[in-house]
Amino acid sequence: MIDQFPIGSTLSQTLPPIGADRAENFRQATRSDHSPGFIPALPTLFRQAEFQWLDKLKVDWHKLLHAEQAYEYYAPLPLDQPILIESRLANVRVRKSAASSMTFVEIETHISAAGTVAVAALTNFVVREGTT
Amino acid sequence: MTYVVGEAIPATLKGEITREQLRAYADASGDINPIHLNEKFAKEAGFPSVIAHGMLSAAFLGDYILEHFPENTFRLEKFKVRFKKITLPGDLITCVGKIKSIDKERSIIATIATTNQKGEETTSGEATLSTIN
Repeated sequence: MIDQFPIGSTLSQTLPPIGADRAENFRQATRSDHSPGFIPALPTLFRQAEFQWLDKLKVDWHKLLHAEQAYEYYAPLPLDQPILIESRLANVRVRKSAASSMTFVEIETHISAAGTVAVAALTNFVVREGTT
Repeated sequence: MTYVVGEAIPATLKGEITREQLRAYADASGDINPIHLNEKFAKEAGFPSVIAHGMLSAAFLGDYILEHFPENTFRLEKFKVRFKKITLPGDLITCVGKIKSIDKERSIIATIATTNQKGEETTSGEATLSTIN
């Protein structure tokens, strides 16, 4: 990983409309019996800006663990509109011992459509280095 | 539908995790991290085999909430999960939950979890729901 963390910086990305077909594929892959109109745990494609952060931080994906994910829902997320994703590097903490280190990466994401924030997400990753 | 604090939400068995399901989930979700798909990569990362996407368990729990708190009666406001243990192909996943609190505005907080066939919690979390009048 890099040594200096640009905490507070934001990366953004615009996704094309998700579309009913892709939502249906997601419903089937998660063995859901419900209509794909509302998806509480959003598909990973909504998290591409988070992954840009991991690349910027030069995280080795072998050492990466997804620790926690939280959502707050403010409005329906339409399937037929482009989606704006803005991910902010909220915090990075490094905990070191003699043999290993663990880096805790916290990313806040706002997911919007048609100028309205629909979902706020908070993601926590852990990067394990050494013998942890 | 009336709930009482402390009441268990009926469990839902989600079935056995398969490699085919991990591939289907990767394709549908866009999560192509090789740790979920490539045995060699997963073993290099220190796992016994490929591991299931944490967000697949989160999706199971989201679906579990919608199953017991239907959208025509409840509005999901917050949903939070913590990934506690890895899930491997062959694991049998069950969703469980309990009513943690109900306030005077009829807002419900439910604790939720996925468990494996050993009864271990693999994912735990909370969902906050409001009642639609």
